[in-house]
Amino acid sequence: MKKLLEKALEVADQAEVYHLEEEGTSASMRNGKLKEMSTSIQSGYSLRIIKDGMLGTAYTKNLLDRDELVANALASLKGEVGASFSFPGPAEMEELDTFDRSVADVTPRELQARCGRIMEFVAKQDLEGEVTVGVGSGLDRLRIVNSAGLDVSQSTSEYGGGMIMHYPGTETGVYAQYETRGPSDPDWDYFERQAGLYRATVPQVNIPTGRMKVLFMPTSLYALTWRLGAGASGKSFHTETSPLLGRAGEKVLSEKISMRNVPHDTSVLGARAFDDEGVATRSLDVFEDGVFRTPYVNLDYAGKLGMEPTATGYRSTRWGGETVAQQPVPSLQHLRFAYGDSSFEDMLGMMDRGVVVFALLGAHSGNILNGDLSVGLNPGFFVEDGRIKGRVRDGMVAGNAYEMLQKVAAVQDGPYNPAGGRGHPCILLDDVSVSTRES
Amino acid sequence: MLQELRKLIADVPADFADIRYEVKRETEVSFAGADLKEVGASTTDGFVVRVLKDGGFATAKVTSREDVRRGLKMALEAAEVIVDSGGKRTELADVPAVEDTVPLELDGDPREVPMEDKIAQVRKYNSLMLDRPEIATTNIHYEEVYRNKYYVSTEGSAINEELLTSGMGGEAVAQRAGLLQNIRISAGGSDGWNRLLGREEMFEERAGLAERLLDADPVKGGRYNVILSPLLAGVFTHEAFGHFSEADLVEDNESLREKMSLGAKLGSDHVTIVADSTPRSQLGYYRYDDEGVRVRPVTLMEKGVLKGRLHSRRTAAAMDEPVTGHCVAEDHRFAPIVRMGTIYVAPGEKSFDDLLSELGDGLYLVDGKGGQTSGENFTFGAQYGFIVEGGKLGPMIRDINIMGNLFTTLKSIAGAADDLQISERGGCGKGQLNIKSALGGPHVLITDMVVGGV
Repeated sequence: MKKLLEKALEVADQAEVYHLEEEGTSASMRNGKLKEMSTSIQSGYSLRIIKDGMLGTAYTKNLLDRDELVANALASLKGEVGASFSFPGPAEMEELDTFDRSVADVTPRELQARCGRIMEFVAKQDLEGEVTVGVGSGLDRLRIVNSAGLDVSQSTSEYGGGMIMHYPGTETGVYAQYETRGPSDPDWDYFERQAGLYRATVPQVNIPTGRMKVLFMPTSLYALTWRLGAGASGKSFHTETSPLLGRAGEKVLSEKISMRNVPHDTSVLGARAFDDEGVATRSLDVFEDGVFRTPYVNLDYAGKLGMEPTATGYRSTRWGGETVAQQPVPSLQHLRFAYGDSSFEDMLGMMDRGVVVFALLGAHSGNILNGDLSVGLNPGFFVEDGRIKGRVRDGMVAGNAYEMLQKVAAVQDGPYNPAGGRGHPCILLDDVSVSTRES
Repeated sequence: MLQELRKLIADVPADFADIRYEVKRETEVSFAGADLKEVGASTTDGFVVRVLKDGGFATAKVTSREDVRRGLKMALEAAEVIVDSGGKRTELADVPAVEDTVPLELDGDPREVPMEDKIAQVRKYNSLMLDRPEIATTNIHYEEVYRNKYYVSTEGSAINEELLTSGMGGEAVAQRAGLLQNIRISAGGSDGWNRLLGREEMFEERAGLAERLLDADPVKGGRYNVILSPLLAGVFTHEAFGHFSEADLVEDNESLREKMSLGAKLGSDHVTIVADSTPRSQLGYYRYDDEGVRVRPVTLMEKGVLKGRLHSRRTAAAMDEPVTGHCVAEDHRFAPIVRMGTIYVAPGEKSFDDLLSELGDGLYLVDGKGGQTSGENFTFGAQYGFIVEGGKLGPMIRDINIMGNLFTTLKSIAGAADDLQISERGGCGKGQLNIKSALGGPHVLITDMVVGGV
């Protein structure tokens, strides 16, 4: 990496090298039989250079030819993409416990045995449908060096898996997932709760179209956070298309809603001491008691907006994209809803008639920047008089995330999933539009 | 390279092994509003190996040549674990060994177009949209993906195929008094640079639609009879039916296999669905899949009756059906899985006006805004639509998402027009991104759909 940096600095004013190594193995089991095992050993390099105020970029997987990589970055300078920032120098960073060495010793046989233990649990659960089980382990090492003297690295391990309990004759179902830093069994109590949720929702029910209470579980909250995140992004502020533009300090959501980026929380996977541009991370209140506090930025938009960096520049990928191929963008990788004061059972009890959104389809297809969503329940559960009656047949939930989060009935008093779901609580909303086949 | 690959798997102690090496060069020009955000071209490469030993089947994906041996060793160990644990026994359907080279045939090779010209072309289209009074911003990019794939198996296949996909697209965002509306734009394909030229009218028209959406009302949620535009009919076909024609999604679910058995009447008489990635002019074109099987056209449904299914060698053997050449990987980071490529509803004989008359009252929904499927349930969004009353198009509507169930919806198709259209860009995310997932159809009339709305 240092040689590549030196080579880049022969032709550029500033340079940064980003290097990621990833290794992992996964196993999946269907109907009690081990079906697939797969190993991945990947690495990649991304180079950014700044010359005469212009930004050049290039990346590769195998660093076979440093000259070619530098030449590619130089060639991209022809685009005259302006660089509104300088690469950051060294800074004090949090030391985070994100690596468990024992993951390196995980073998295919160990993964198979873990799948077997989850299947043993499944066998005791009296489930009608088929079950898919998967377990995987991985470790990665990220290092960033730049011409300002930064040389930071972080190793991360992960281990986890889960089960999908399919409804009879379908591929849809209820799932239970867990993720940890090192080899371990799931929290069986949580898995048992999920099995109970599955059993209660095998019957399909028809419900009428109308407005009702809707409870978003952590597995479906991304439909809301995606929209709020798009609005709070420095990119939307720069293009002056954010619904939050000029509203910092204004109450835009219910006072029950606080959303904070918490990069140092090692109780969930993905904690980071620095972002993908080498900026030391810190907590960031984006919404506090319903009040919008600040947009979040990468170095580029920090420069464009005249803001201090918020350490939220990530090479964010979706749909299987290659990390080193992405350029850093503003991204809330560690967003968490603050906890409220109601248990999950309390929240169900508040629902005389409503829907629990366990998982959904189509979160990506609404007018995201405006906050609009219209998503299919997959599955969603009908609740009447505080009791789950079954899963909704062909139901959709629609609305605007900003308006929906102004009518918050309750927020769960802790994470729903003790080892997953990014630590999010469940959120109960009032007066949400639900569409079904019944009028 | 093929010779090198042969050597790498020659002594693998397995019943079968194959290796794929791929070099991928991606070129990107990206604008966010008037700002040029990204320009660059980069090359990556990597290897994927698969082994079959005593019925255990496992894969490894590695970046570096030095890791190929280690990857093979880990795959062999995994295959043994599958067998020892009484796991799934895999067989691969017999296919002929193939030695072939498939070069590009392009109408204008984008690799020979200077970067400056690519930037100028995108800038021109982008400016046309930004010049409109209510377009607040755009996100427009040019993307060119060149893949040079080498495939070798221990059965004797040795194939080198080049693929190139280029496209321009993104979104235009209109804004008025705090309301934002966006519309998607896409142009491209697998047949070269020249199809991207002269598209000014399309970019302007799309920007105009984004502005018109500022005056549209959100759709009211409920149950409707609808006409889908050709590209939306394609999204519907891809999401509602296509994924279930991919054999890996049904092979392990006995009850679903029963429901999806060939010969089952699942749709109305108006539904004929075809998967055909063989025409070179289409986005979805390729000749060999990523296990060396030549792709062939497959009639998946004919007049509502299930006629065919898309397969890998593994699923074809497991379901005792013929191979189709649909086992495809996104790139060198992925083992191949069953993918549908180009899929479309075959055109009928009616005109669009005929369908409007048949619809009477309902909705006309236009162009896809992304879809998703999970099991037999699906959703897809429409970019805009119109209320139809008495067979006449009425006010424009927005914020439209539809949900349905495969087994009920295919029977609700009440008619297909004669105006087939195939998409120019794709992006299906079944674990891996397939940028060649072309889709299409004619205008299609469907009854009794659930539409989400406020």
